[in-house]
Amino acid sequence: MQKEDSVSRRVMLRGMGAAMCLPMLETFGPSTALAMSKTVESPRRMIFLSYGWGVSRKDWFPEGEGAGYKMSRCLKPMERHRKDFSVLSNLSNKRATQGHWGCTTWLTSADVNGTPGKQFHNTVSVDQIAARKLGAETRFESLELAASKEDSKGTGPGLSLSWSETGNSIAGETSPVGLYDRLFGAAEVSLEERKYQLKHNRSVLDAVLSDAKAMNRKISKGDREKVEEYFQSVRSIETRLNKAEQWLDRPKPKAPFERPKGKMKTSEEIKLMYDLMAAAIETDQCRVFTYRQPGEGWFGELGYKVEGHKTTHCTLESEAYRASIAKDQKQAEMLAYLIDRLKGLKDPDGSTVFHNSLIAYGSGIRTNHDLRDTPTLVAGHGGGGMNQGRHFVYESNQTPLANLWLGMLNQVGVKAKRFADSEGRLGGLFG
Amino acid sequence: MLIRIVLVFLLFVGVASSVEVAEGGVRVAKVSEEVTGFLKEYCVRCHGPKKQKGKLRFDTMPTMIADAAIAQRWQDILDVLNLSEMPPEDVKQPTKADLSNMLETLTGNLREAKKRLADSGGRVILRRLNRREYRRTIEALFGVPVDVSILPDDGRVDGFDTLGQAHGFSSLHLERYLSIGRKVLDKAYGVGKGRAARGYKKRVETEGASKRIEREIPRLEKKIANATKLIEGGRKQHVERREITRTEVKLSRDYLGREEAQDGVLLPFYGLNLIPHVQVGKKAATGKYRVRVRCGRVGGKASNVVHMRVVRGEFRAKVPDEVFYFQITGTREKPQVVEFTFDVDNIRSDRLAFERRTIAREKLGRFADTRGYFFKYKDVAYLLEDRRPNLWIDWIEVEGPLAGRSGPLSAGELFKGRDLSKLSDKDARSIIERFAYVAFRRSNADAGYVGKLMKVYGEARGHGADVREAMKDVMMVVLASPRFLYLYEPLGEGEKSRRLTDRELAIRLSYFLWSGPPDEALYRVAEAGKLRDAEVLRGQVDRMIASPRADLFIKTFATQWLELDRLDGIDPSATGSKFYDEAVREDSRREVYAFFGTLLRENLAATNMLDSEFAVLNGLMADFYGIAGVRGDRFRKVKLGTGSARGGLLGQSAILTLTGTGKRTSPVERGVFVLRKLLHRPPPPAPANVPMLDEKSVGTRSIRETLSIHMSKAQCSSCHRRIDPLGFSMEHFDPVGLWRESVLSEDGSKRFSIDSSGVMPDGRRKFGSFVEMKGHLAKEREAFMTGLTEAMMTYGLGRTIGFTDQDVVEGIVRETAKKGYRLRELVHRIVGSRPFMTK
Repeated sequence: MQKEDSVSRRVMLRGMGAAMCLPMLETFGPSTALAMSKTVESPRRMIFLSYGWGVSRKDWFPEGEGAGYKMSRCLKPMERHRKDFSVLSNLSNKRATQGHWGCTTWLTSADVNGTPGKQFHNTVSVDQIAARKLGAETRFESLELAASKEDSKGTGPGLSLSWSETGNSIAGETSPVGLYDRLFGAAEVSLEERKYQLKHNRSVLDAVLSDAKAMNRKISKGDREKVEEYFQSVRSIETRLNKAEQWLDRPKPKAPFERPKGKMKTSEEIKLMYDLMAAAIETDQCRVFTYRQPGEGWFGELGYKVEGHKTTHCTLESEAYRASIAKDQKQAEMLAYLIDRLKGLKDPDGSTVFHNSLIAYGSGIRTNHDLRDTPTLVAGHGGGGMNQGRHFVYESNQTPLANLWLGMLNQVGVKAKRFADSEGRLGGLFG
Repeated sequence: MLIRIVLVFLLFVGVASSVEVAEGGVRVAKVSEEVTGFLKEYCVRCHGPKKQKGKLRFDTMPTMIADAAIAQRWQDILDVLNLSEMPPEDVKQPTKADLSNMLETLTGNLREAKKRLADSGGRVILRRLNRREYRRTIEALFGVPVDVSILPDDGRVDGFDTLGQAHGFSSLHLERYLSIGRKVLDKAYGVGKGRAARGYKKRVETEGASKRIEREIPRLEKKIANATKLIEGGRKQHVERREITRTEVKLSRDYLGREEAQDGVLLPFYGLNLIPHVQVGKKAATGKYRVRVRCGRVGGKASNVVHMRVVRGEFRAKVPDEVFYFQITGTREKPQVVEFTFDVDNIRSDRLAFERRTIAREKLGRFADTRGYFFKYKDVAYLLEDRRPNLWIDWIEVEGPLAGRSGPLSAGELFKGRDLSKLSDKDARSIIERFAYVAFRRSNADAGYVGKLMKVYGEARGHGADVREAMKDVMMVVLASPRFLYLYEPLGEGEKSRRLTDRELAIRLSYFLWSGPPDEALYRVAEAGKLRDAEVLRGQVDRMIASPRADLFIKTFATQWLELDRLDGIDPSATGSKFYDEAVREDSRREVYAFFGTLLRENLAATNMLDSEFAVLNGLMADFYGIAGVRGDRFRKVKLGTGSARGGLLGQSAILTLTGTGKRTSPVERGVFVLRKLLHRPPPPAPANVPMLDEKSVGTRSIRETLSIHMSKAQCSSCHRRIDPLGFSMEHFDPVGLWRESVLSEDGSKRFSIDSSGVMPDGRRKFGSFVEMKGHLAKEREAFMTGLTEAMMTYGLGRTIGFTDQDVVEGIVRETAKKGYRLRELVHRIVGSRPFMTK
């Protein structure tokens, strides 16, 4: 009854089921996409990092303006990268109204109540627009990472920072192990096997698609939107299959480290996610990332028995405020680490990956439910031509955060004129 | 004074009736006259016909909030007033009361407007199985458990996870549905040669512990001798350690001298804390395992104070995977056998450790010894004083996996009478068709789709896969197809709405009450076309509620509606209460489920949630509350004295704890909870961007004094005057829900007596105590039932309940009222309502 080759067959099937991670897609080596790319210019990359409850109100924002500003207590760990990032004061998502939503509209600048017939409607996030261009040549157009629901208090509705063009929340990968498996998980198989799997997976997609189409014939307008999301997900995997086909005969990228195991502390989880981002960049599997970081776990790890919410409602002398500062510093330390990693990676033209990247780091809440003048930091040079190393102080409560998003889009080569409620490209930072 | 009271009263009337019919018959929210009056008085001088400072003019603003743009203009006014940016200091200022009333009214108008503008017209949006429903569906179809944690989190609306609008779908979903489907099929149909995973059956006789201790003694004596040598050589630091080891030897000898140690294990024995454990082993088959423990109490009078705590988790894991508690009612002379089951899933640890738990916080820590038992001597002094009864365990038995239920898609059913090794393509097709039919909840897949599936099958076969593996390739596709993942209710061309078919109704019903597909009996009634018959439907709903499958509905609905998962954030050890531990935290949730479940299954009035003459308790919770005469783990109805504080939801530890931090109560959160969940009058979220009030020297003040600052500013008092008094009335409950007579200031320097008097949110009815407040609350049956009805409809229909549904909700509440507000009646009314019966 059983065939001789049942063992090798099992390996293959596991690979295939194990996340339609489409193992045969992992057929390109480091920088393969780069080698294939027609432009000589090094690729641009974008990373968006955010968290729930805002920052310590007196100790996060720097004193003084321009290049000679005084580094704040919370950002001290970033001192060594001083020339490579700027702090932007007084940017606001002017249409945000919810004091507990740190991340929901951070990248969308949307008016979530503005759509008739809907209680809540978000709009596309800036990373997704960037991904359409930057992700065209990589296996993953974008990767969305997020902490678990329990560890995402104060972030507001949504499963990650990212929102699709139809305004739906894009599910974030919550497990570093899950991300590792998506990037490096599947077993090595022969070229012939890869060809078969590619074809087979196309048939799989074809089948699910036909069921979706059958459904779509008899359906209400509201339901059609839902089925459309399903189509979209099939299409994006199809795109991945097509890319895989181009790189069919190239070796798959090697994982730069062992598969992680077990439960992690908050610092370990964030570090691992950062390492995996760096690894995904190193193997050029993805160029656009969003990461909604864990928040609540920090306090326990740092030895405080407080809730995140409390840290935004506290007096400056309280334990909660001390916890808030400790968390901010730790987060800044992690960010500095990520920058170190990206500075250590080189693009083909000899410039660093960091030089060619833009990292936005901040939250939609300032502190104490204050949605104006939210904490924002931008690192990286986006390929060059920016005025980094300063503290920019914009007009309070007047400058839309969307101006920054527009500026970042333009910097990486997306020719947009407007994003959400933007009033123009942000001055100062972008030369 | 009199005028003020009248004004407050009018205000409420004003808010409630601020809806008018605009042109075209659409009901839209209208800005109340209080607001326009206020603007006229304080704002129009600069923003009116004569001057339009900032290009703003208010006297001609439309008061019908017909669209988002108009709403935004009013929102801008509200924001500016909330921030005290207007009116400027050099012009006439409103009184605090006027401003407060105006802010409350305009906030209410705008909320109403936004709700109306957001009304989706009562359509159920295609919903996807959430993680819980996916798990239940797989269990029902295949009879195998599945770990759904690899699926992305479910989006939620108002705390509920059943709403289609929040069920996004991205490529990550598709990847994960394919991979989890593969796992399910491997489990159900086997992998490779189908090696049967081993079962496990073992009885551990715990007196083995005594032998180990005996063997330890010579080693310990050697240690003492070594220490003596070192001390003689001048190493004084070993004196203390030698003393500890001597105590260790003495305790070991004492222990071995006890008769209980001859035929079992005694937990703990003064400083000697033995922790027996069992481990099923990684190679064991997954499934349900039964654990039986023969045990009893030793010492102490007949009492409730001893529990057995069973911790599931890796050795020394900080966070256990699961914890079980059992109250020990047997004695060594008349032992009891505790029995429970747990799921071995190769994901969570399969190791169970057994300890004693008593109600006062257990200070026994654990200290590993190499031999697999644990000693802890740090607290020797404390432990030598331990006079609490011990737990004695005779043996521990584990057996499994227990024969699982089979489902219509389990191997035995699906492949019945087929020889897979000789299966023709035609037969394969018919199996696949059958599989899809069952997976799609008894609806046939169309031929085109089956054709595509057969192509997948053919490819796999052509590539060398055997029949079963090729079949699994196909089935994985079915389990990721939209018609399995979504509850599909088709609409014809141009069709706006229609009645559900019997089959569709059966599916809605079973996902409502069971989170899973209909069972054979329900399908049969539906297929006979009888389900829409009112009496038949009623009978089915009763049957479903009585079934243990409805436990999940009770648990899920109670958790999501009452936000019980806020308890997850409470760290028992950080509460500072010596009576509150993890056991109480977990059983306090179960108390809410049991209470709600009792109302539902015994068909009692839902209004018991406002106040009741009984509580539903087990021994552990009764001990915690100090209510005598309840023993054992089973929850049961316990009669309370009249005027007891424990009646209703507000007397329950879970509710009282989740509204605070565990360490401190929050009268604001408690008050908000009452307004949101019991009075159906949710206050608006705190306006963003309002600067924080100066909170210096909070430490020495009472909470009442601290929060009095809310009344000092109109921007705060507009809402807090309704919220805070309700919270103050509950101050006699400490942060974990135990009764207290006085309270310490935050810094612990002063003690305050508790003043629980106040006024209801209507601003009229006064109360002098918590019990009086509850008396007023118990009269708000209609408001409460409206809120509960909307919550249950939201969960059951999978869509938000909007203004379109107002008449239906009112009707349901009215009809339920005629039947004494009985909870099961409410479910019947919801199921029988038009929205539930139509697409």
